[in-house]
Amino acid sequence: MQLIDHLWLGWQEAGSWQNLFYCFLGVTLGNLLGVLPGVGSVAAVSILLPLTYHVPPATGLIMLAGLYYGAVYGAVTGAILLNIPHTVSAIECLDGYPMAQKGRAGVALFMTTMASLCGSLVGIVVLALFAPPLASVALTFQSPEYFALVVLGMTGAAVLARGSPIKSFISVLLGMLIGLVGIDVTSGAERFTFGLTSLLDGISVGVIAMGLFGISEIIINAGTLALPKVRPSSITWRSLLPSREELALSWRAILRGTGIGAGLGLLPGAGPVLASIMGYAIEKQVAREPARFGHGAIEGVVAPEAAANAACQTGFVPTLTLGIPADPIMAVMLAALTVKGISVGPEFITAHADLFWGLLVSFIIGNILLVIWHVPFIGLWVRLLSIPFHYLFPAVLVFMCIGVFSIRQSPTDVLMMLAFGGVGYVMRLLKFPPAPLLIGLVLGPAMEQHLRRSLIVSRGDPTIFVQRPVSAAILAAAAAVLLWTLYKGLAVARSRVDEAPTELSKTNN
Amino acid sequence: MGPAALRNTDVIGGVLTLGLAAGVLAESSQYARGTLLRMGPGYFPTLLGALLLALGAVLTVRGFTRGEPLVVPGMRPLFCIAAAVGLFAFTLPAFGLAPAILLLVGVSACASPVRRPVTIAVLAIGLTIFAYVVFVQLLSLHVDVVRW
Repeated sequence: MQLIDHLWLGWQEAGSWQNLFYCFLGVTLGNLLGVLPGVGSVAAVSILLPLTYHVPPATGLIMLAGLYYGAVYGAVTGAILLNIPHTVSAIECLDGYPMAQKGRAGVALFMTTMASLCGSLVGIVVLALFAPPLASVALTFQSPEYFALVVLGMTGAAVLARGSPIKSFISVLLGMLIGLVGIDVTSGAERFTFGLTSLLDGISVGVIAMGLFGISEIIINAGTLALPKVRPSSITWRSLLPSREELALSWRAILRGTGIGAGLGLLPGAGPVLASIMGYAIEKQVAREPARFGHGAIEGVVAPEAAANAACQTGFVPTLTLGIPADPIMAVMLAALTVKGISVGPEFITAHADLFWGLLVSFIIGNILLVIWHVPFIGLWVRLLSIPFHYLFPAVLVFMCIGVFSIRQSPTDVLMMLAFGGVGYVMRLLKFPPAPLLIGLVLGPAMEQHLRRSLIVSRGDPTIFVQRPVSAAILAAAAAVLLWTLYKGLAVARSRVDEAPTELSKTNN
Repeated sequence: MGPAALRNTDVIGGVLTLGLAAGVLAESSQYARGTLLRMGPGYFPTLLGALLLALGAVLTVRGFTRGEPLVVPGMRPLFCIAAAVGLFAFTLPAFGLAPAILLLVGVSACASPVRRPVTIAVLAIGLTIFAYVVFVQLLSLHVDVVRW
């Protein structure tokens, strides 16, 4: 059995004391920042990024991934108890918070944990089964195919971000432009450096992500007063137990959500946010009494959660085999790997088999750790929610400032982070979503490279992208996504009555 | 053009985008353009600039018929956080880690509507000790704790 050999190889990597510790640290801190109000998951991963600069690649990747799915696990707690719409968990507010108001918060928390576990485990299986064959297919891909994939990834990121698609595209382009800063690798020319030597190597993705998400979220949230208090005493052990009816309603929803999430996660550019929204929409479609939704329907809480977690895991398939990040957090992770000199792509699984299978095994360990954190220690997380934000944000700022400084011992990087905090603040005020910027930033340089190479191969003939069947198919998919958005945009413009769902756009991204 | 249009997020965002696009096009015109076969360093940025110009124009025009009004929140958090982080960047190399963190916490705490001097002081001292243990002792960051 080859799979068992691989898992054994993975265990040897992930089972070392150091990696176990960092996996634990990653999921715990991710969960912590996911639970805490006022810090979104992109910000959470960016804030903790500097911690991984001091460890070997495998350890760093295990920890970053742990932060990622840990934050997804944690975010739902805030959604259920306090109606805080974090990016991933925004949809869970719709039914999770009404459940809490009806005194079923414990059940909601317990069932989402089970949904997360189910979604994650199935996602991990899909990752183990699909990533190696996709990687061998991708080995035949050349620059035109990669160019098409990058276009699809960027289109997906722009279309799926909340808010106006035009603004999302501008955000992607802005990211691509920032990605151009520094020395052009092909010609050696300096671009957009304005004579500043500190810009020659480009601007670190970590610094940009921390400014754009961390600093600007703090500026937005620092002025708000404390959130409504939750009573930790209301979540007892007994209150976690679902009734027979709730169980019967949940398990199918969990399975459906898992399937949707696992499938959507495989698409480049989709990611857990879309998965959770689709999971909710489908539950509402298949429900016998759709009117219950919005008033504490348990299916509306568990299905999106299962979908988000499944997509979280299967999102590693396009990220690791094609180098196309599924969402902004993956983009930050890819950048962290590049810093360590590891290139992600079709060769990744064979060239770094220990890293890939080690990561996979660490997912299993991490998810079990998260269940342990969530079920017996649920009271602890509930108590954390009552920490007032005015104690929290100075601590987060200290962590970010020292973290950014420690990357290159450079105070200029701290000021750069502040500058991007300003950019993020202005973008938020003007309703430009900042998440697509990160995708453009990471994929922009790849797009330029592959565009140049493709046109050299085709002797300057731009029809190469439609003459090659695979790249033509991928570009057609991107065009379909775009047309669908335009069509939907027109539909929304025609009937601007349905204002309720856009209330959710007040989230972090 | 009434003042309402000027306070519209689409119009402001569109005009800013147009300005950025103009800047990008001007800057990239100084780089070698090259041909479609052999793209120079200026080709791709010019393409991006042109796309930005088009999107910025659409956004601006559309802003006059639709788009949300700009809501500017209080300036206090922006000012306090920016000042705190800026001060940190200058204090750390000049005076060391401890004064930098104390200032960062003290100044940033002013951003909140809840301001209690004693709690802020306790928080600042606690965070300084925490940062010393984690970053200097555990992660061996090379930085002076206090520099005279």
